[in-house]
Amino acid sequence: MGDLFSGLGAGWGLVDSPTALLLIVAGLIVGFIVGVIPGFGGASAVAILLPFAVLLGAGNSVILTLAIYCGTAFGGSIPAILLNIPGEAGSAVVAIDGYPMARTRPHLAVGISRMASMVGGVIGLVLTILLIHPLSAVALQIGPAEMFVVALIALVTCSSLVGDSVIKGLIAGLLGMLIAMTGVGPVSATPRMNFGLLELYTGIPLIPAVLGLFAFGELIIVSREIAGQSAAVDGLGAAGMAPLKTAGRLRRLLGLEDFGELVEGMKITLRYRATLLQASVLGVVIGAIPGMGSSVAGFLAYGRARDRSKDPESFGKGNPEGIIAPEACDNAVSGGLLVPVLTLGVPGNGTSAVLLAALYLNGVEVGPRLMHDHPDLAYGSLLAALIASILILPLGIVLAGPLIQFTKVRLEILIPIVLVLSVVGAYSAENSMVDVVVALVFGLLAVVLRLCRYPIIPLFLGFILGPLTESSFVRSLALSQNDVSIFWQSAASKVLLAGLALLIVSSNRRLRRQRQRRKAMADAT
Amino acid sequence: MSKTRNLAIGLLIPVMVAVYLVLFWRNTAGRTLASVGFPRLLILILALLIVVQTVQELRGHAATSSSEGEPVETDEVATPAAISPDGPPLSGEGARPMVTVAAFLAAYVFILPWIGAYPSTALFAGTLSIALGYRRPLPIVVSVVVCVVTVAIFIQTFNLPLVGIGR
Repeated sequence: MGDLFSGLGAGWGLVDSPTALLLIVAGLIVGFIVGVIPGFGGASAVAILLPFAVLLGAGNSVILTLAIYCGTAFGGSIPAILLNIPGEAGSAVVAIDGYPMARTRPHLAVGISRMASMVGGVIGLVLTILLIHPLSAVALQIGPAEMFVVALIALVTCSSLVGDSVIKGLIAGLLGMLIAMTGVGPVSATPRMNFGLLELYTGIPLIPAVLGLFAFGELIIVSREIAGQSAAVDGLGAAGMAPLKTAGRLRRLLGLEDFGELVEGMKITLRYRATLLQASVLGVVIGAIPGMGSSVAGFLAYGRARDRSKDPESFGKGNPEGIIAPEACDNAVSGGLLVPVLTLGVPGNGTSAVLLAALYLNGVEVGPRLMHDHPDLAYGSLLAALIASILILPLGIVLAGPLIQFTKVRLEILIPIVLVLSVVGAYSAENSMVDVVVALVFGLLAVVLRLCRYPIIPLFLGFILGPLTESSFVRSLALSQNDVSIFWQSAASKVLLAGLALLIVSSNRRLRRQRQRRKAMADAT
Repeated sequence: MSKTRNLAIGLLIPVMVAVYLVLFWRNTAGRTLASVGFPRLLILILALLIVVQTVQELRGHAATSSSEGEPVETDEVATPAAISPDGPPLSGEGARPMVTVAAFLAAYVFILPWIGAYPSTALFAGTLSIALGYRRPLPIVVSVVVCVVTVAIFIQTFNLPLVGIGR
């Protein structure tokens, strides 16, 4: 317990400065804006800001990244509730009950959403802070052989859960790992598969790869939604956003037009303590599993809240629990997400992968020793996320009104601006046009993969885990003098391998059940 | 025609990855096992997965060709689109704006070193908005100005040699 408090003390030193607070507020505002704009995700925003973030140093870049992530989770639910247009995948489920309620009482729905977001985020992070210390102590016992198996587990988990096919997920993940093998390996000075380019001698640069997958690729893909924009903008009228005189417009913009309704919404949220707690715990657990993410968590929390409810028929018609459960769960995911990142150096989604990239680029060795070697960074990031979760409430009250206006920004205008920012960001990393070309290639690869229904997240996870996995593999074999039994000799390895086998078997069973269900449905029709 | 197109889309990634694997394998020939052992292990596993995926695609194609409307037995799982963290799957519909953005981006990256950062950025931002079907002049001008100012800020802040490189 003493270590926990000393870690928290070290972490407090990181966030206890005006700069840190400013970065949290700035990150939240950026996250709110990104979350509100349909099609853009938190990973895209942090990827675009990565070249700047690296300049801020390890601590501040982590603070900024986490604040953006927390802001994105909340921002996405604003258009989902008011316009029935989810700003990001995790917010889709909030619209099921949020939109019907907002049609008659929009401020009540927004008040519920704001309070549930804050409480979910805070519970999730407090649970994570309590859990992470004992978990990090276990992680410290992990040797290279166990680390190799852990990396495989992370990759298989992510590949089997993301997308619609385990094999496609595995192909994407292993391809990412293989791409990461470009350049010199851990025991040789001769580069591998660098196409004769000196710039790729040390491997594929991380910033261009991140920008390619999450900025170029996403922006090309999001351009498909240009045709559907007019309907979204028309929807603003239905949400009661018609023009007013100056004073009324200002009050509406600041969300103070009906403050009583907002407060009532917050009070209603606090009445559903069991739902808040259950959804938050679920969020932490799901966030800790690589590849799951907030979209799955929100649907599961909604389903559980409906199953437990005494009035399940009211779900889908504006039941407060239908907003509280997914909102609390979605924001609690941000806590759970940090568990594998900080204890093992394994990212759970795109945003946490970029977070790890920011640490790598600042020279921080990410892995099981992170909590031990850099307690200030580890606990500081948790405290930064906690402060961001608390600030969601006041900032959300003030900014929800203005934020909804961002849904009016035309993609035809937004896409060129963000692309220019990304191109210059890719170039600025090493002052090299090769980096821009690398980003372009990764962007096109992301588009082709998405068109062929291959998931992107396992590819990036494989790319991030590649060097760690290879060095663990090589070190294990060096320690055992090329005896491969090192991978299953220790008790921890046996447990981990059993977990991996269980994972593969359960994925296969899930697929078989799906196939049988589809066959039965086809036979019935 | 759409069945052939689906098959082509289904086999595109396996073929691309297979080519990459062959190139990588040949590139690692004659090296020590410690240096290339792990990449080669990955190549072998990937090759196996690609064979499985190709067989599934071909079986699916044969099944849809022989019996119209019958379900295809692949390992595809009916995951709700919104649940997928990657978002809904893409189809060929609405490909035109995607091709436009990709082509303009590639052209921008190509001309940037030759005509310089400011003119290429202004050209890219202005023409892309118009090519995507937007016609209101004021927002386009604002977008061009924002892009050029962004580049200028980067050049000043990071001291980037972006202006006129290659000229």
